Amino acid sequence: MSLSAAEMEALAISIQVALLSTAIVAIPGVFLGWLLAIPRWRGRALVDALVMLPLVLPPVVVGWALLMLLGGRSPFGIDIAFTGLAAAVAGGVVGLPLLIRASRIGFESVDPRLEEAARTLGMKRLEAFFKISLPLAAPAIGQGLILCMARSMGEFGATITFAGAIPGSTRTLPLMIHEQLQAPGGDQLAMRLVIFSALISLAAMATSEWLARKVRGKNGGLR
Amino acid sequence: MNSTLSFDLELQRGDRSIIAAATLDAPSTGLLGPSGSGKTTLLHAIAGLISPSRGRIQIADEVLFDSETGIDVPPEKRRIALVFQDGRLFPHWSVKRNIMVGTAAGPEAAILADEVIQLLELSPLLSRMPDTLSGGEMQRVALARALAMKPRWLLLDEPLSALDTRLKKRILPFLIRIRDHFNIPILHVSHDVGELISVSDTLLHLTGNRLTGPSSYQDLLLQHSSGEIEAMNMLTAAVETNQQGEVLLRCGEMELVSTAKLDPQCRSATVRIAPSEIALSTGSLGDISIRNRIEGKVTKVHPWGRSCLVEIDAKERILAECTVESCRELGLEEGRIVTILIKASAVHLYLHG
Repeated sequence: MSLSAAEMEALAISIQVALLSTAIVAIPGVFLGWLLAIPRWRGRALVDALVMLPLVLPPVVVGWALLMLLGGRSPFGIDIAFTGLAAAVAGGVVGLPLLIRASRIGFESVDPRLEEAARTLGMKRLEAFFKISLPLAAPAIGQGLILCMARSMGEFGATITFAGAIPGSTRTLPLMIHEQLQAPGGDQLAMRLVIFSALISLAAMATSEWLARKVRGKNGGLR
Repeated sequence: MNSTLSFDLELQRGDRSIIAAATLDAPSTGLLGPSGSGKTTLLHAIAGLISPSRGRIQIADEVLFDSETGIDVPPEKRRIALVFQDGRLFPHWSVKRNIMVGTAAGPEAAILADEVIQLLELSPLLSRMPDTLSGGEMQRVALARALAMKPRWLLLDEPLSALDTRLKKRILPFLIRIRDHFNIPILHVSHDVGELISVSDTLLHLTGNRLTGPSSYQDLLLQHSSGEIEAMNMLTAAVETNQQGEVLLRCGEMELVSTAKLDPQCRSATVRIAPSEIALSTGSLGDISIRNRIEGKVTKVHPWGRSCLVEIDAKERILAECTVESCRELGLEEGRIVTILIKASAVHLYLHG
């Protein structure tokens, strides 16, 4: 089963977009996961609800919101609409909640008293975080990154709204599949890309499940 | 080097405040108190993990905390090691890496770490991961990790409480080795009086939101006549003979017979006898099965809860518990000669090495 040049291009763009979008949200996602793992602080429920919004909003609404914020009428004067970067941002935003949720579970599974012990052994606060909490939460964070990447690779609604489906620039696999389905007799053509997408998604889920099992084995229960 | 630890603190614990002031200069101090009295809170304040609401902490002349001048040295700069009840080993690191975490660079630190590993017999465990260790091994690693950082003070927060009696008996000698081998002052928290007396020179007592001491165990005991501190006799003994189910022990000039099981190689032991298991006689004894019959002179009778603690000089100071009624009947008062009766099975060997 060989892919045409246009299909190969769509696949390459998909991978680029997925990697870039994960890179963009990695640090804010892990930070928010860590923040939400801290029990009891004012505004925690609100932040939790806000960051989960992209998961429940129709993706087309997310795309529209991005267009308003980072498009031609951007209040920040930043216009990236209909570029490869826009596709990455759209994918990142819809993948972010998955990364935050997984990181949060990871940090919640780390006994916070280990950092206390680290402090008495001479580590500064940040050092204790990077040497103790972060490595212990790492498998869960890895799981979150994979889910985030898979989600952004499959994003359709937000991407088409904010980045369009420009061949060679923002036309990712799902957009290409959609296009092929529009053409008469295109479902035959689309089948190959559908199978391809399914395989990528399955591989991502399997890796993520493997990491999850590693977390459970290592740190015992949740706090 | 002077490492006197002194503090004068007010600590917030839930909705009550604890007042604690003391100056500690003994090599090993025990902190005794009922559970929930705030012993752990006090240790955490000394280590810098929580801030007292008011007061001052210092080691020699160095101020670690002072609410008036706003000094609050962070825990990583205090060089006060804290061994927690549950060990708190880092689960993603090997035993070796756990032990080395607080050590400085350089050959001197490596020598110290080696010494600690030898002393606590940890060489065979170095490459293991914490989740493969038993409870006793974990606590030994936690002790090693604390010692290897060469702390100025070693705080032990019930390091043995998660272990069963048999394991406790195996770890206690290590604590004594630490005390005798390293020149690091220890503050040891426990609710087990026997454990504390066997490793501490002097005791603090935290109860009713107040800290008292440091003072000797017997002084502390007799100050609390309501009986809230468990009373016991603790004596150091040399093993004379050990055969036919009986151990003959010598505590100073006093001889004692015990039925406790003891390793044949064992040469010394700590003897524990509960005052409530001691009987006193003032008359002649007929044939009697009790193996330990020791002459002594009553030095004082202390009211003790609903009964009395009779303090007797039998070359060693012995405390015996009697009811008020029997004290009156026997005419127990200062100067009275009595025979102390202790069944061999009541002579417990707390610790042997």
